[in-house]
Amino acid sequence: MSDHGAKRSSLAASAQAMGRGVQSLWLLAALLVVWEIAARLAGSLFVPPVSQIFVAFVDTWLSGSPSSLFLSDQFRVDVLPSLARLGLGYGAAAAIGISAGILIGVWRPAGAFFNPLIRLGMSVPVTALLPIAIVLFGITSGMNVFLIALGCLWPILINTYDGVRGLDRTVVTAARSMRLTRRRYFLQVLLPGASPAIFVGMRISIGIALVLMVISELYAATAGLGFYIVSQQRLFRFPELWAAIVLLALLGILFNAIFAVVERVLLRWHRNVRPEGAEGH
Amino acid sequence: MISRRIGAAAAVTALLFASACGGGYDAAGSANATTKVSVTTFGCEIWNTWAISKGVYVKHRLDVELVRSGGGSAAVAAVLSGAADFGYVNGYTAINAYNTGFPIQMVSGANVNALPPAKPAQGVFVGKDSPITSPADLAGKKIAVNEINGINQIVTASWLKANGVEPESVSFVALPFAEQIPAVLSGRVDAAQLGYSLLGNNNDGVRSLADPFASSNKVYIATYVAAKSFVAKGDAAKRFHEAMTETAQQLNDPANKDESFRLLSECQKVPAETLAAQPQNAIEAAVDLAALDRMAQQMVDLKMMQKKPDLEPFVTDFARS
Amino acid sequence: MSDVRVSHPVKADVPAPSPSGVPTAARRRGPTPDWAYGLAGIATMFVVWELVVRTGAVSADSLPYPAATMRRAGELLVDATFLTEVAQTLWAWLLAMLAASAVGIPLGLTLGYFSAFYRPSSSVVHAGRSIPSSAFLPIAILLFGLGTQMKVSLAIYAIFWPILLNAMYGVRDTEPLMLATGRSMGWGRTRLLTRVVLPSAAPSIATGLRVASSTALIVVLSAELLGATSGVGTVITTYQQAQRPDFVYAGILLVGLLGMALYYGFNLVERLVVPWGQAQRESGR
Repeated sequence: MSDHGAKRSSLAASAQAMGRGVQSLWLLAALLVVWEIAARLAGSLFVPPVSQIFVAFVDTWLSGSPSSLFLSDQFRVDVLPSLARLGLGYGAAAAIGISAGILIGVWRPAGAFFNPLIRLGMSVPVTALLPIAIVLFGITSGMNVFLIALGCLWPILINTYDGVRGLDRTVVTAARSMRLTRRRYFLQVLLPGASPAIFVGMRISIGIALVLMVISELYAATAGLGFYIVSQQRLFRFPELWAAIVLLALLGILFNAIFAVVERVLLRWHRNVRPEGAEGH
Repeated sequence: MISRRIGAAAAVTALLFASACGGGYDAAGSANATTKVSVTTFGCEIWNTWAISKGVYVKHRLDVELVRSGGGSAAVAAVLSGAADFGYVNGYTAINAYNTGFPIQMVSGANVNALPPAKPAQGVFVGKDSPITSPADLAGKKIAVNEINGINQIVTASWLKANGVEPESVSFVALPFAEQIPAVLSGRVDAAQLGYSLLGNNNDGVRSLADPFASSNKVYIATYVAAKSFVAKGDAAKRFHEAMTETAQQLNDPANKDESFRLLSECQKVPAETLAAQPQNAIEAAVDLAALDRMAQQMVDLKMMQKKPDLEPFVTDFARS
Repeated sequence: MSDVRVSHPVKADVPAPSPSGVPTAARRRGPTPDWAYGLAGIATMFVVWELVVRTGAVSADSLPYPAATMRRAGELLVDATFLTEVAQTLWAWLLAMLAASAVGIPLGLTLGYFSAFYRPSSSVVHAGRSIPSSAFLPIAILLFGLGTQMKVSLAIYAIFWPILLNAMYGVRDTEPLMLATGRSMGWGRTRLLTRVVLPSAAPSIATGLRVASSTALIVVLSAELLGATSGVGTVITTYQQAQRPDFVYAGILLVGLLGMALYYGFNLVERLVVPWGQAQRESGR
């Protein structure tokens, strides 16, 4: 392919990507316009118009120098620690949830043993465990990480468990008759078979992680996005408060987009493998 | 094709409907407010408990219904939406909300700090054996308060400032009251600012560095705000203030102490003897404009507010001392 | 593939694949019933809890002993006021579930069905579900006051997204082959919708509702903890202020049990109403 052709195709690709962006964001944009009009008509101090929030957003988060990617000091002070906690908590939940989910999925007594405890754990608001988290971790990021991890754990754990338990019986029987080694069974049958369900759990947990990131910082934190939100709320600074909420929403969109890409890449491999396994009987 | 368009239109309408519910609300108070009023509450305020059981509200032709709500923006939202007629907020929050532009007015005071010669009701508590003995020792330390940017933080920061410690050098950590003393005792925070009445059974484990409220002179710990339109509409706000004044008189009468603790004990599920042993904040229904002004100045000094608002129109005439 | 699906009940007759492919020793000896293991699990929890407090890892001021908590739970269970508040919480839960499903399911079906809406609405959904509903507390109070309506509105906000998302994914997951077959048979839109799309989306919708049911309870409770006029949360707050952790944890434990009961109840209903969901999921699609 000539250089010229390559350039053109990359142009076409970016145009296509832009088209996709417009396609997926127009509704959001339309809702923001509705918000702007409604807020102007209502004139409530609690819900400022989008334009005012946008100004606050830029002032608060994007007033930095170009060398720091325009990110403001406030962003460094409050958002980066929150994101670090989110990453650690989510990572821990994924690691523990997937391994424990597989364990209780393959070993029935363990599944029966933990099942009621898991249901109970799911039904208790994570925030109610704040005092215990403080005692265990002190007033450190560890406390926030713990709460985030705990909240994200359940969906990942249960979905992994379901994925393992729900493995196609024909596949399991086939694997059994082939007398696969434990290692091969695990890597080639169990993990691929359970991975769609595992991904489902991990995907739900992203939203939970963001919510808990904020909630866990309402107390016992000295910095963070949640901390910022409460302090602005206390001072009745609603445009700044909404700017933080908008940042959260953007993070939600971003994380889901990243996750969708990762899932597509990983599960494409899976989808290629699976039909052979599922339909090869 | 047509039906697909209709479907699409229906979907848009549904979304618009779902999102546009966030419209405005009329801020006017309820129509039958002449007798029936609702008052937000945190839990068991002694003045409400007293005024209800002793018929003080009824005497002033008020049928009071208590509705539980958090303070701050929740209480302000409650009075502006008409969900409550009187909102319980601390003086700083009230000034801040007014300064932000919310159409509210202060109609009554309730709780102020106990000033000498009374026993201080508030303290900055450290562990009994803590090396911290003076405000200067707190520089760079962690202090637990109930809410970030709340009244306890403002008062403590002002106290530090008055003692030559830069408030920015300490970090304030929000902890529920019940968790503060355990956190101090386990060394997870260095100090906590709360009232003696919230120490629980840890009176012996901690000591207080000082009453930070004393350095601020008089601080309104609890006040009531109402929507401006509600105040203008009738004399219910005035009667509420009069009822509060009468309640304050009765509660400040030493002869009524035991009875008030007995009532409070029923509501709070804490033994009356425990309550009686704890120094309490003072009750004051009249609003001292000079004190409010100092409170506003404190917030300006702490950079929580740009400039001091004109408090004249904020405090209703009948509520002033 | 449904996006939000948390779990389905374990059917005892599904053989657990042991890694070696050989039945485990325990199974050969004659199976211990699942409930026995479950009870052992609960018992272990209490033992660990007791040990944690007894050894002083967590002080009894922060976490009461299990025995004391159970005693208080017993007291609360016969306390008429407490039960009334439980009823209030459940009422708010029910209203939120009904309202969110009434709007979320039809809307999700619509958005999932028309591909022009699918992608734009997913970005709205992902934005919306990342925001904790407690951030809207002042606005909810402004619009709905301090009563049940406010709690319900916050809970609706929190559970609207999983319900909507699952309905959307449910429609999107309709087997294209089945749709094509239906079309080739000359079925009209209505018929396709009721015979193909709805049945295939139903399991996913049910899953969304199940997820929503536990979330709704947690949000209603949190709203009550933050400020509301009635409900279990207000009882817990009162005890918190009185510094009675034994009652606080008894309340939390009872709420957890309530959530568990709702969860198992939902499972039962789901199995009765959407029996094909189970088979569909177990075929490991």
